Amino acid sequence: MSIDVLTAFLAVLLMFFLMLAALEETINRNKEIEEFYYIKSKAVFFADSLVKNSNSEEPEKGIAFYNTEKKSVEENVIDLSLMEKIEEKNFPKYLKEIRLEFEEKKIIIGKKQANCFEARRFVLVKEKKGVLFVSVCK
Amino acid sequence: MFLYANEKGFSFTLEALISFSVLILILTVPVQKEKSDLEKIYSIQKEHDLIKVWIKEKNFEEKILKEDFRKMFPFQKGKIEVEGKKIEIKGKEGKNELNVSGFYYKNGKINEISVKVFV
Repeated sequence: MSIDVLTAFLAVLLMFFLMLAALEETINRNKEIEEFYYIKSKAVFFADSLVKNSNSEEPEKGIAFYNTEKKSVEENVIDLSLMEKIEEKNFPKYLKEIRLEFEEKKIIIGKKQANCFEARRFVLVKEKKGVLFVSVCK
Repeated sequence: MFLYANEKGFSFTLEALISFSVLILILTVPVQKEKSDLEKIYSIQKEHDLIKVWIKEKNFEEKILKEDFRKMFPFQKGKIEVEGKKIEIKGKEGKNELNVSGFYYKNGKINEISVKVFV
């Protein structure tokens, strides 16, 4: 085998190696992005469900205030009695923590872990402004 | 021709080098299609929240509006327009400009409030 052929062969091998290394890095990066996208979308949609629905039987699906006079759900108005009924054992998969902060108070249900995304929504609690945090973890 | 061969060995032609370069470029282009869409939906939801709560409270003091905006968007740049006031909030300026408006009834008139955020 001539030196030319050997050099060319090594060049091809190096090129393939670089190509495969770049491909692996891209796949890993996209995998991470997709995983985080999934976690983030879960958090965003759980939080949206909580502030828009009122479910007294399964409060982890909705804690908005139901106005009996108007016969409608008041979006972004939190019903504290429903919030207090939420139990961590009934959390859907990936949902780890729901936290409500208003005035100087904090109501925390569950406990978040590492690698979480926390969605936040602006709400009213007993006519006071507050923030609802929903943490979803891997 | 992809490879040029002769008795002494072989070498890459210019075409081959270009082909390999293009192939590497194609394989290394990152795919990030959905991320930005979700970010936009989430930001719009938060802007809606601000407008809904502000309309229920009907207290449009600049300081309060700024504080509330910061609770939802801790680092982003934003603009709020209400009752003829234009309130600017300094912060990180993203490429996307998301504007959400709402209407409320006050003093016998329909008024508009809008929130703009740069994500």
